Amino acid sequence: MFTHSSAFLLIVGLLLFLLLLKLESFDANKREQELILFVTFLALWFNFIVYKNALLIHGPLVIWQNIPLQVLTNYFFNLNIIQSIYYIGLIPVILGIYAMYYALFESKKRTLLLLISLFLSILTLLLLKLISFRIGLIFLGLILVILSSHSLKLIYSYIKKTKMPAMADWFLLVIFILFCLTAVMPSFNLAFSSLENTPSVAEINALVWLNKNTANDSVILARPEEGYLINYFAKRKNVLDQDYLLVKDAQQRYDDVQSIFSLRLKTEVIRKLNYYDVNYIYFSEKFSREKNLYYVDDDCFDLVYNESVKIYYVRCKLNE
Amino acid sequence: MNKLKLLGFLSVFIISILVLVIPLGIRYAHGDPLFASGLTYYNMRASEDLSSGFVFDNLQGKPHKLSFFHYLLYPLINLLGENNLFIIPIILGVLSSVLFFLVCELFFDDERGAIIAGVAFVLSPIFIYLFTSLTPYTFATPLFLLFVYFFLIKNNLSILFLAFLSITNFSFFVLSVILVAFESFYHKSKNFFLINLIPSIVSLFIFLYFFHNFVDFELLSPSFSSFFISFGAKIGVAFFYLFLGLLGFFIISQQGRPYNYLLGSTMFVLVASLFTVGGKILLNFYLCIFTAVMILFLIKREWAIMTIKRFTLLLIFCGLIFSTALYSDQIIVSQPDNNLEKALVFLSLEPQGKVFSYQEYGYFIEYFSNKSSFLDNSFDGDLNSTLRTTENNIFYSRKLETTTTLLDENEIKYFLITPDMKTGLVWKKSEEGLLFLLKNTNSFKKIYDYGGVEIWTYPVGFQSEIRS
Repeated sequence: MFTHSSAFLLIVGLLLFLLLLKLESFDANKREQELILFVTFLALWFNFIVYKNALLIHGPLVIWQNIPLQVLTNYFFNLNIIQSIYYIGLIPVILGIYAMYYALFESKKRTLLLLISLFLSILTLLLLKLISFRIGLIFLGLILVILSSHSLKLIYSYIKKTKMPAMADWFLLVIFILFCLTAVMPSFNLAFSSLENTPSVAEINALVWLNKNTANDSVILARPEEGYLINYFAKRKNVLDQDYLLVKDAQQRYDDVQSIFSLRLKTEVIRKLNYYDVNYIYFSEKFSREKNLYYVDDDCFDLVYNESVKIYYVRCKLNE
Repeated sequence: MNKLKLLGFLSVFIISILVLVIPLGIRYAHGDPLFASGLTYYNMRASEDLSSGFVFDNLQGKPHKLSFFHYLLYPLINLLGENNLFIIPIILGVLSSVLFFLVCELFFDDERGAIIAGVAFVLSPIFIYLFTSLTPYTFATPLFLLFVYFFLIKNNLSILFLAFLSITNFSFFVLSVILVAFESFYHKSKNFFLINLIPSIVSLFIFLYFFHNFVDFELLSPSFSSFFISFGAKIGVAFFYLFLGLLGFFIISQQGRPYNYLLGSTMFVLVASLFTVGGKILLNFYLCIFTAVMILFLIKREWAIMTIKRFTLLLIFCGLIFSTALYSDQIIVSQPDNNLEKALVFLSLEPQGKVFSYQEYGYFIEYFSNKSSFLDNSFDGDLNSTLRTTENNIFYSRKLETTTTLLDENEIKYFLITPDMKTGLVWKKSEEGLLFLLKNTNSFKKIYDYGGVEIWTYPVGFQSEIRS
């Protein structure tokens, strides 16, 4: 509630829960209603206070967090069912859906209805592209895993009642193996691939060099993905990082930063560097297709750090 | 008068005074001019022109948009003086809050409902906007409430107030008539409605016959940013009010037929609020009533957990206060501030000439410096968009020839530049566009620099002289 705006997912889910209760003709529990009302007011009020400035700057577009268009397409993209199943895991999806079917049409269990409401609210928001794909999948996965535990329990107790009760333990073992193959292995894969995004020793050395050898008020240009590293290790200002929310000209900055790494025309680059008062360019190949900067020459750019990461000092000013 | 009614009356009265005095008091303590709305200064200037027999705006070269309000304002300026004029909106605000309380009393069976609606109204951002400024709506709102109150208790005084409303604000009048027409037909009291309507139409035509520049029906283009206070609207609805109002609407809608008129008229007002300022003010009345319905529902409900009840009511109270505080803060930090006023008073002593600045400062320039402004908010349609294009070209061009040609064409002589303009309102960089030219060419001369506010002068016809 107090840590992330995704608390709104919970609110939508809880309101949907009340609706489902009504549809399924359950008696309304006063305590539930009161808690939901309270949580709704609290979430609304708290988020309005926290995002007061962002709301004033961006208006209704604050939903998309002022993220530049190029990044937005990777952030709020269309829901792809196959891809989603791959990320969540086949077993939680199948067992979770079975639990939902059972709760809605067979048992009508109140506690499961709550989980189903949350699932439906997240799915709807994902389909409408109102929450990021990553956050949506995290919550979907979590709910499906909890729901699938209910299915497991149902199937396990069903097998126990058949003429082959011993098969129940085997069933659990098979599910466990399938779960490892379809969910745990992809998770390890994803974890290892995300490790590649962590800063290497060479990068940290370059950032520490910036901290020790540049003036405190220097502005460093780096890719948006490296913006936080500039702040944390080099303790210097960056032109752009991945927190776009309160940046008034985020789209313009993003375009300019990306173009500075790919442009060939020196004059245009210097005009942009001057505009943002850039003193140093931090160039690592990690987030670039380019192997070097095309426009650098001795007239305007001093190569002050030359390892796997390159740092250039910008000397030129453009007089218009 | 029973105790509860007296308590409600007093609480609405005191809170309304506090809510209005706090932002104005803080502005006064800062030494800033009391009124933050540019429109107030335009109205004061228009009233003064009117008293001298001018219905034409000599500074801007176009007719003033006038209403009965402007005829009323000038005697008040004479009577109280410009420095004490702030008393007028405060009195009208307090009067409106009490009237709204009385109207709500007719609606609610429970006295507490009227008190909560009254308090919700005085805490609403629209109330603060209306009664910390002097616009036709500041006069039209109490007139509307007086009309509604007397109309509902079937008193003939309503005729007088509807007639005044018709010549004070046309859009407000039209909306009021539509609402009351529905009510009359719904409750089958057509005759009383017609008795009210005919004199108001007659008075409107008499006013139109004698005064041709009556303010016309102002239509807004609907957008989220002009509807919600949180998105930066100057006059709009607070999210929290809308949310509570929707819940209240839902509760009322379950009560059936007796409330059909209220529910139907809410839909009409909601649509009207997207297109007119008057609609927003009316919607605010409805939202305050629905908010009270919701809060009353929560108070009366038998709670299973009493702690949750207390915290929920506390949260709602905090939410309402938060909307008020947020909007009051906007009023407090709004221009014109002390430094801008000083600069404009200095400019008033300089020879006549057109002043170029940010559009929102247009009315301040005209009022404090008695000079014409290149662009203010009174322009509309094609002329407004043409002037805005020129304004942008002058703001952002770094080519001296382009800028001086535009300055000569538009006979601009002065530039007013504030710290806000240099830090994001117009420019993001210190050497951007016009700022670069002002500093690095000899064509301009700085004549004033105090508190971050700069005034530059440019000899009109400079470019033409160079060419010749």
